[in-house]
Amino acid sequence: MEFKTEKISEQIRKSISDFSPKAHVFEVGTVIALGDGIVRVSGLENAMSGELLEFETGALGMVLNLEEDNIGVVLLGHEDGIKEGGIVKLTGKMVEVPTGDALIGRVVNALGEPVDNRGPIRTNTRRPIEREASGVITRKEVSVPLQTGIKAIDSMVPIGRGQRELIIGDRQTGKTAICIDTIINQKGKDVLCVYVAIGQKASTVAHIVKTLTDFDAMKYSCVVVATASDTAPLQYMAPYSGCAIAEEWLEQGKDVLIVYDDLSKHAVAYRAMSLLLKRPPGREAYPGDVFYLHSRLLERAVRLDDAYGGGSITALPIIETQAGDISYIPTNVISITDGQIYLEAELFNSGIRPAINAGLSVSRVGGTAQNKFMKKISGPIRLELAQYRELASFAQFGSDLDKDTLDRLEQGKRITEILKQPQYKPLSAPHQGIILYAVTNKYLKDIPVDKVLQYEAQLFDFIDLEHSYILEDLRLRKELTEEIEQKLIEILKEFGKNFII
Amino acid sequence: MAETVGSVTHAKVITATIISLDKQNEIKEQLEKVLNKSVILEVLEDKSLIGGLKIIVDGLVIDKTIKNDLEELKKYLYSVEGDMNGI
Repeated sequence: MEFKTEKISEQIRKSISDFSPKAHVFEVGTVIALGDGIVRVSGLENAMSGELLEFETGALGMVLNLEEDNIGVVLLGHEDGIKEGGIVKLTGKMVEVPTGDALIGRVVNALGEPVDNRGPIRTNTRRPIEREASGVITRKEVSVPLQTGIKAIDSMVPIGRGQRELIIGDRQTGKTAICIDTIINQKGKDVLCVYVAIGQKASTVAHIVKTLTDFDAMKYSCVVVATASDTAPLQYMAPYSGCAIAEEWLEQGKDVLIVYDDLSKHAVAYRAMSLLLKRPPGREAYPGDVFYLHSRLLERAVRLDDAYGGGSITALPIIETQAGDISYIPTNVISITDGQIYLEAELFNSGIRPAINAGLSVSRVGGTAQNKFMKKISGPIRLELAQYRELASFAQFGSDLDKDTLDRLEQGKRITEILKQPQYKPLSAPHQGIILYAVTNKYLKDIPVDKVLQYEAQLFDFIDLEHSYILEDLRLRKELTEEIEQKLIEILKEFGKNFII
Repeated sequence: MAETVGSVTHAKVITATIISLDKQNEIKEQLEKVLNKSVILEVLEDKSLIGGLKIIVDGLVIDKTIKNDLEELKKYLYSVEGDMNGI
């Protein structure tokens, strides 16, 4: 590529001549107090709530408190250089972020500025981060599945496109892992993904971005980051910015998955900001509107009617509990979402990963968002697992039990074993259907529990190599017809004969 | 703030080069006409403005300086509209 200096200077001349300076008159106020990231400004009588302001240093601030004789502004940049008596300008704009396809594959901060060193975001569309959720009439029932690729979830707590499903658990129980696996599984499924990291370590986010890149997921994802070192206002804004980015695609009729990791840190950042703004503290020192903080965010996850584009935003908020205690914020978010996936540290430590507690986890959309064959096949699983849990305490008695109880215990052990899944290995719906069919129809009855996963791996290899047509059939028909079921039984019998322990 | 007490207000006029007393009075009269108040002028010099005039009065900034125009131009060139596509 040859750079002709005349061409460049001609372009610059043209750009300059196209330019005409706009406003010369600005409304200004003066800084009267500054501290802890909050600035009190006097004047600016026309400031709007949530409006963006500019300080002399170029730093931006957001108007949050409108009081009789001053405005409470939260700083979105650094305090350095802002002086008492300094000038503050109105920008006339609400806080907005750039949106559009230019954001795919990028890592941006809560203001939409790129932080991945790959140049500016070139886009013509911008959206305010705060927006009212879609009305009742514009919505449609959730009926299309969002495949997470995780057996335990897709069978027992299925998620649909447009649903909000909470992922809740103690620290280090695999919450983020479930969301990352779900994002990885959206490859080739026409779903765009947004991952919002709130208050996390920058190293953790870097690791996640690397994982997503390695699995080619960045080709359909965008990451919004507000790390622990970013100011509380930026951490507060990040989920809303992510949602605005998702809404642009929603209105184009696309399906979007958005992960908020995690909302507990979001609530903490909001609490810090509110206390500094001298808003009265409520329960656990959270401000009175902390429910509204999350409800207005999660209500923006929606499935739109075809008349409005037919797009959807599926939200997977994450909440971290302390020692399994469901306190104020977790209770709030549970009541907002359409179900929760409850992860337990005990299950995790005993090797059951994903550590999903099937008894406490629920999806209020449930079967409506499942393929017919998954619905049929996973019907018995929940029941058999529940029975197993009830009888598990009798397992210590071993041979003193009747045959029926022993059978149930053995079946429960195998189901538990089959629901284990390694990280970064999401399974397609047909694969899941096949192995769950095998388990619920007792094809694994005589396989020792510790060889069950080996059976699964070899079964998949066998089918992928010699009978892949059945995967296509299931994928296209989405139903377990008599014909497909017959073929499947034959395959399982054939495999069973040749399976060597 | 003690800028406007009754119908008297304080205005800052900042220029790159010193302006004559005549010009200062002209500005004072214009401001008094527009604001309908009597104006106390404070004239300051700031070479970094390069040229033009900046008036700060009553919560308003009227900025017609070359420095401001250059700042706006810079923002424009960095933005999408003014960006030099293809280079």
